[in-house]
Amino acid sequence: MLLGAALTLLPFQSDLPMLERLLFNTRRASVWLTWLAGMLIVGSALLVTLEVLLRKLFNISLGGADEISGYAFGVATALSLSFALFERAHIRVDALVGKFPNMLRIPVNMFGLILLVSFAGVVVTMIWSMVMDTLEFSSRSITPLRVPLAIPQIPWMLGWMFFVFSGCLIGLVAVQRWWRRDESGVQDLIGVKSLDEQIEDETV
Amino acid sequence: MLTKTLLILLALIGLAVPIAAALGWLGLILQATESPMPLHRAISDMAWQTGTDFLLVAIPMFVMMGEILLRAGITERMYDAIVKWLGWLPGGLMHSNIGSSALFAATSGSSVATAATIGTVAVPQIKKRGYNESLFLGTVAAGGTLGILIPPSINLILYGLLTNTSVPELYLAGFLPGFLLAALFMVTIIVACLVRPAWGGEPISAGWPERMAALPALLPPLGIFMVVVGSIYAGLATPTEAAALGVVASMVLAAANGRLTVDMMRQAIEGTMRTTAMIMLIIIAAVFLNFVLSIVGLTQALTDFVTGLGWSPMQTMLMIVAVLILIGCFMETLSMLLTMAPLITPIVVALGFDPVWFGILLMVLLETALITPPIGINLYVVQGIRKGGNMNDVIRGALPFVVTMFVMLGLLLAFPSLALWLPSLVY
Repeated sequence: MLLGAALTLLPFQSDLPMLERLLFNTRRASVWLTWLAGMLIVGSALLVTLEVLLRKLFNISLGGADEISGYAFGVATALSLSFALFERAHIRVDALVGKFPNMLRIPVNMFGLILLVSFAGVVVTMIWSMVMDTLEFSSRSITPLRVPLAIPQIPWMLGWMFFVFSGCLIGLVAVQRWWRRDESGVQDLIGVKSLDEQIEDETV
Repeated sequence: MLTKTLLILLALIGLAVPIAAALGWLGLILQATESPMPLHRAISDMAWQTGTDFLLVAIPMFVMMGEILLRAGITERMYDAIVKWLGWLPGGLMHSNIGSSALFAATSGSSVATAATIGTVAVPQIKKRGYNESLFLGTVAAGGTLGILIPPSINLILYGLLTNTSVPELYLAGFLPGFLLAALFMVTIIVACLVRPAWGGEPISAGWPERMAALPALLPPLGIFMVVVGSIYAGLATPTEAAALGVVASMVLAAANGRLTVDMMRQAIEGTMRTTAMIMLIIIAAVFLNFVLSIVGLTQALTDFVTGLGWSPMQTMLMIVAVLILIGCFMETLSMLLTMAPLITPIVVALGFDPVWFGILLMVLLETALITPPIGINLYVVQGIRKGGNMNDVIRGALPFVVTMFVMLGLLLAFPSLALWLPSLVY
C-alpha cells in the first residue's frame, strides 16, 4: 500500500539517474518475489490442510507435506529478505539514537545497514560453499521423499544473494542522496521507521 | 568475557543496529576472539536447518492468518457484540476493550496489530460516552499485550525452539494464565470505577434479545480459535498443521464476507512476508549466537556465576524477574525474548524450575515490557491512534495494568500449577 503510493510518486523513472533507476527496478523485483513467496506459503497451507484432513477423515497419508512446506518456507523467507529491507522492517532500538542530532543520524543509519548487509554477506559466503557441496555430491534429503537438495537450496541461495545485492545498492544510493543533501531521501531508504509508518503497516 | 559480551551487545543495540545484525556480529566477534574453531562455517547449516524447520512454518502461517482476519471485516461487529455482553459492568466499554483484545489477540498474535485495530474502533467512544481518557487508553494498551500469552502465540513457538520445550505443552500452559490475566484486567477496571464512578462513563445496557442477536458476530473469531487451538489441544494437529488450518479457515471466512480479493491477499502477503523475513533473520542470528555462546562456555559461565552466588532458588528467581522487568523497560519484546530465553532458561532449569512454567512467566514479563515506559511499543501505538494529547496520559492509564501484571507474576511464582496444571493432565 505504502509502497504502491511511493512508486507512483516517481513520475518518469527513465529520467532518473542510473543508480536510482536500478534501485527502483530492484525494489519492484523485491515486491514480485514477495508475492511469489506468499503464494508458496498459501500453497503450503493448502497442502498441509489437505494432508491433515485426509489423514483424520480417510486415514490416508500423503506423506512429505511437512518436508515440502519446510522447503517452501525456507525459500519464501529468503525471497522476502530484500523486500523486508526495502520496507525497513528490521527491528532497531532507537531509544538512544532517536535523541542524537540530525547530523549524526545518517552515519548511524549507515552503520546499521553496513553491519546488516555484511552479516548477510558472511551468511551468503557460507551458503555458497554449502550449495556447491550439495551440487558436487548430488545430495538428497534423508527422508522417504529423497528430494535432491539442490532444488530448494538454489532458489534459497539466490534469495539471500538478492538480499545482499539490494543491501549494497541501497547503501550506494543512500550515499549518493546524502552527497546531494537529499536527507529525507536518505531517511526513506535507511532511517528507522516512524511510529505512524509502523501503525500504517499493521492495520488496514 | 561476560562483561565484554554484554558491553558489545549493549553498544550495538544502543546504536540502533538492526537486532539481527547485532546478534550475528556479536557471535562472529566472540568466535574470532574466544574460539579456536571457525564456528562461522556452521552458519549456513543453521540457516538451512532453522529456515526450513517444520515447527517454524507455523510463524508465517499464524502471521498470515492474522493478516487475513484483520481484513476479513469482523473486528467492528465483534467489538459491538462484546459491548452488548460486557457493557453493563462498571467501566462499560473498557471491558469490551479487554475482551475483544483477548479474542482478537488469540487469532492475530501481533500486539501492535491488536492495540492498533481495537484502538481504532474504541478510541472515538471516549468523548462520546464520557470516559476517563487516561484509563480508557490504558485498557487498549494493556489489552493488546494479551496476544503474547494466549495461544496460538508466536512468541511461545520461539521460546520452545530456543529452549527445546514442547510447543503444545507451552500452549496448554499459557491457556489459564492468559485468560486469568484478562480477567484480572477487568477486575482492575471494576475496582477503579467503583472507587471513582466518574471514570466509568455512560453505562450501556443491552437486553437479552439484543445479546443473543449479537452472538453470530462472535462466531467467526471463536470458530477460528476453536479450529486452531482446539485441534492442537485435541491432539488432532501439530501447531504448524493447526496454523495451516487457520490460514484456510480465515480465507474461507473472508470469502464468506466477500472480502477475499486479489488486492486483499496481496496486502496480506506483503504484511506476512515482511514480518516473517524480519523474524527469521533475527532467529537465524540468534541460533548462531547461542551456538557460539555455548561453545565458548559463556552460557555455562553465566549459570555457574548465578548459582555460585549461593542464593536460594526463589531469591534468584525474584532477582531474574526484577532484572527482566528492568530490561523490558528499554528493550523491544522480540529481541528481548530471543536474547534472554537461551541465556536465562539454563540457569532457571539448573535451579530446579520447570522450563514450561518459566516460559509462561517470561511471556508475562514480555507483556509487561510492552506497556512499561520509556520503551513500550503499545503505549506509542495507542498514543499514535489518538493523534494529539500528552503521552503521559497513556502511561498513567497503563500503570494500573502494569500493577495487575505484577500481581499475575506473583501468582505464577506462588502457584506454579496455574501454568502446569493443564499440561499435567495431558502429558
